[in-house]
Parts: sequence; C-alpha cells; structure tokens
Amino acid sequence: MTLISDIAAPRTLLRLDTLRRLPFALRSGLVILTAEVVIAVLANWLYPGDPFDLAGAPFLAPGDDPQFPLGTDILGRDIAAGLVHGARISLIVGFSATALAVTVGTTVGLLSGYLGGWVDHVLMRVTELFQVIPHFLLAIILVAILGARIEFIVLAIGLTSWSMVARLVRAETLALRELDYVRICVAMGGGPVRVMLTHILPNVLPPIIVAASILTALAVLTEAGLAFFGLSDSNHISWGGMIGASRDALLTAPYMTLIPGLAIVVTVMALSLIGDGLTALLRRGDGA
Amino acid sequence: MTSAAPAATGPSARPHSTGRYVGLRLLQMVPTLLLILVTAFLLLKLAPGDAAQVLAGDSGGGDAAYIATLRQRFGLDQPIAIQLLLYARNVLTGELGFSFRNNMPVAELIAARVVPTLLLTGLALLVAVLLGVAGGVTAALTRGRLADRLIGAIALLLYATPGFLLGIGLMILFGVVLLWLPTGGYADANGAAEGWAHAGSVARHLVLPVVTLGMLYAAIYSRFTRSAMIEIYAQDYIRTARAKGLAPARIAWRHGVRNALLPLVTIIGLQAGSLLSGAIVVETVFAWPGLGRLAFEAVQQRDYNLLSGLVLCTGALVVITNLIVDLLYATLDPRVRLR
Repeated sequence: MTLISDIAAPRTLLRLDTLRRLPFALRSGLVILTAEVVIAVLANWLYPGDPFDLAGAPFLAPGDDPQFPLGTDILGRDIAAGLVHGARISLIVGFSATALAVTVGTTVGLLSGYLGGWVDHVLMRVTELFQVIPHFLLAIILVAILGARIEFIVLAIGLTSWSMVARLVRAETLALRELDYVRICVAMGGGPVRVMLTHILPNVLPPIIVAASILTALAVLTEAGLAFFGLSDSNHISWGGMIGASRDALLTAPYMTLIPGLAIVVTVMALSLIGDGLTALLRRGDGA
Repeated sequence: MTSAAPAATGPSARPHSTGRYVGLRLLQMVPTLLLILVTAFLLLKLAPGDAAQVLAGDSGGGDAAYIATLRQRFGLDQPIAIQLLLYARNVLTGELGFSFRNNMPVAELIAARVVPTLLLTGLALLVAVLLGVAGGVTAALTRGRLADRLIGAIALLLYATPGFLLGIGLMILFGVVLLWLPTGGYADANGAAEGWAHAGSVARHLVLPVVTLGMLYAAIYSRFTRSAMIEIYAQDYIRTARAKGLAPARIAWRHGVRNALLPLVTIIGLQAGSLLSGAIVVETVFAWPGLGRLAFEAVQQRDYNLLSGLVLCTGALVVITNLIVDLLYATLDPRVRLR
C-alpha cells in the first residue's frame, strides 16, 4: 500500500521503455485487476440470469453440491454467481467514486495552488472541512439521507475522499508555478486556464494516477463498510452487499461472509500493489 | 494542519513567541469550526422531514395546523439564514437538539459516549504506534531480506482487510472458538462489579476492539516508518555515526527512530478523523458503547438530529486533536512555526 505522503514529486510520465521492466508489484497488481475486470465484463456470459434468483437450497457450504462450487447463501442464491456479478458493481463503484474524487480534488488543487490569494484561502478551508469530518461518518449520513442507491453511494464516497487529492495537487502546483517554462508561458500572455491545463496538469498527472489507485482501494473498502451498515443498493448485487446480507448467519455459516470478504481483500491488495509499483516506477523514472 | 510542515526553516524563519503561536493557531481553527457547523446544519436541512414532522408523526400524526404551530415554535418557518443563526446560537449554548428516537437530548447522548471512544481510539493508537514503529524499524533494518518482505506482506494484507472483517475474524477466533475474551459490550452485565473488578472487566472487553483497530493502523504506520527510516539511513550523519564506531542499535534508536517519529506525529494528526471512521466500524462489530456505535444506531433509526450532532462533535474533536498534535510538534521540533 502506498500512502499519499509517500508520493514524492515525480515529474516524468511513463515511458515506453520502462513499461517492459515493470516492477514486480505493479505487474502482479495489474494481472489480478485485469483478471477481475475481465470476469466482471463476462459476468452475464459466465453466470447468465439474475444473481438474485434463488438457485437452490439455502445454506449449502462450498463443496456440498458440485452445482454450487462456492455454496449458496441464506436464501439459496448461488454465491459464485453473486461473486462474479458483484465484481461488476464493486469495481464500478470503486472506479466511479475515484473518478469523482480525482476530478473535484484536481480542480480544487489546481485553482488553489495556481491562483493563490483568497481563492486558495477559501478552497483550503473547505478542503480542511472535508478532512476533519470523519469520512465514513459523512458517507453513512449522506447515503442514509439520499437513499441507498448506487449513484448516491458513489457520490458519498467521492465527496468524502477528494480532499487528499486537492492537497496533493495544490502542493505540486505551488512548486510547478515557479518553474521557468511556466513563467515564460505566463510572460507570453498565456491565461491562467491555458497554463493550468497545458503546463501544470500534465505534470501533476503521475502523482494523481498513483493517488487514484489508492483511492480506488479505499473506495472498495468503503463500499463494503457501507454495506455492512446495511447501506447497499438492494437492486444490484455487490461484494459488500453479500456480506451485509449474510450478517445474521455469521456464526453458523461464516463462508458466506468470508468468500466476498476475500474478494475485497484480493482487489484492495491488487490496487495497493499497483500504487506501490507506480510509485517505484515514477521514482526510478525520476532519474534515481 | 498545514502548519505542521517545517515550512519556516531557512533565513525567512522568524522566531515567534510560543504564546503568539498558540494564539494564531487557535484563531485558525475558527473558520473550520464554523464550516463544520454549517455542514451539520445543511445535513439537517437535507434530511427528509423536519423536527415538526417527526414530533407530529411520533405523537400519532398531526393535522396541518398542528405541524404549522410546531414549525413556528422551532423557528422552522423562518428564512434559512435565520434558521442557521438560530441553530448556531443553540449549538454555542450547548443545545444540539433532541433525539426523538432515544427521547433524550443529543448533547447528553453524545457526552455519555465520548469517554469510551477516547479510551478505545487512544489505546488503539498506542498499539498501532508500538507495533507500527517496531515493524517499520525492523523492516528498514532488514531491507530486502525475509523479515522485511514478511512484514510488508502482513501490512499489505491487514491494510486490504475491511475493518469489520478483521474484527469479526478475531471475534470468532478468540471469543467464540477459544472463549478467551468476551465478544462484545463494555463490561460484564451481571453483578455490576465495582472498583478493580469493574476495571478488569472493561479491560477484557477492550482487548479485541483495541487490537482490531490498532492492527489496521499499525499496517499504515509500519509502512510509513519503514520509508522514513530508509530515507534517514541515507543521510550523512548516519554515515558519520557509523564511522565513529557507534553500536548499530544506538544508531537505530538515537539517530534513526527519534527522527522518524517526527513525521509520524504529522501522519497521526492527519489521520485523527480516519481513526474515528475506523472506530465506527470496530465499535459496531464489538457493540462498544462509543460514538461510532451511536452513529450506527442513529443510521439504523434514521435519527438525523443525532447524526448531525455527531458530525459537529467528531469534527470538533478532530480539529482539537490536530491542534494538540501541532502544538506537540512545535514542542518536539522548534523549527516548526506557523507559515
């Protein structure tokens, strides 16, 4: 796992020749995540039909019935089908929430760092606000108020996680703003929007990409946490939702919780490995 | 929080008196605290149904005229800006509204839960720092070898495990299978023990939640300590210390760990809010009667008055924690002053 604080200021974008000798962590993380995305995309083909359908007898442990290799849940739904279809929602929630957080965070960070003055002051107070209110508390309140629908879950996770991106981008922008080529562009009459989009943004992208892998990992964890609190979309099956639904059978049939739990652990590990690998790659590309 | 970076090093650093620093830092808190207040108010406004409807609904559904009277009494018929001011006045006088579900003032409900949460998070933080620093230092000193890889793998696994899953796992293992520790609650219910017996009972109930929360954060801190130590070990003064012939253990402690702890303090401060988020999950799993469990109950009952009160109190708690960390940091490292 990589912490936001680990992300130094690498200024080199990925180069093709470095792609061939990717760090081991990055390669293994990418392989696992790609496999999951493929499974998620092929979900309807692998397990056609609604994963919420009652497929067989309830409480079948893994291996009890060859028709259900991972068993069935409290109501007799096929866990393997749920796992495959759940990958879709869990990954979509993770990626969409991250896209939202990165968009908001980057915009705030760029404006704050580049414009400075009262804009910086106001935006940083707001960023601080989103740092001091415990993220998970705000997320459960937002989902409780707006309703447990997938778009609101994405909104709640995204809204509570953009602040670290904003601080990261702001710090990078402050450093980049002083560089000669940026100053030259300003001297040549480049307006703030142009300078931010064409000169600053491309150079803050590498650390943003690293941050995005960490945020996606956190989003997958948060989705699961929300579901554990009963705040998951009951129209879409997700790993968190599967865990939430088997809470009553925790002691009698722990496999119902463990199997989707393991899927979450593997996904978060893969994303963290990608973050680690990218950090290593960017440091290496930095001329070290 | 931004002041925690050693920004004022170099020639521009002007010595400030400690009193001035504390004063400025206190002043800096005000806008953040006001924003927290506005957020709590907005959440309340966003929530479906206002206090009048809740009250009327609870007393057997009222007619429109009764609801209108109630609205007037609560000031809910006023423009939103006035309502915000009324809310601010109430909050400043310690009035956080009424929890109709619990039939108790929100402030009282929260006050009763603060100490258990501070106990849990404080001890968990201690466990996290001890385990994290020990793990991180060991990993850094055995860099690239088996111990390093093992610690890294354990940290990665812990980090990737959802908090509730780790809690449930430990609970099943130690509480259900081995029967060593209670699975949840604050103290043994029977006998209402006093004094040491009571404290002992609370301590036994604390073990699993503290270890769960502590391990989750130990993973993060070990990772951080490792990279800080590796960075420090590349410095010249470490080479000097080695050249002087100092014992490796002495170098590791006096020159390494003590310097690695400084940035760790910053991370701990930044993560005060995150620690409370973790506490929500862990308290819920172990039925620990703290703020987190209260938040869980409030969500289940859709008790928005209580939830917005919790946002207010936890936000303020984090702001105060950040202040303490910053002041601590300024004491530990005199170079640090307000930007």
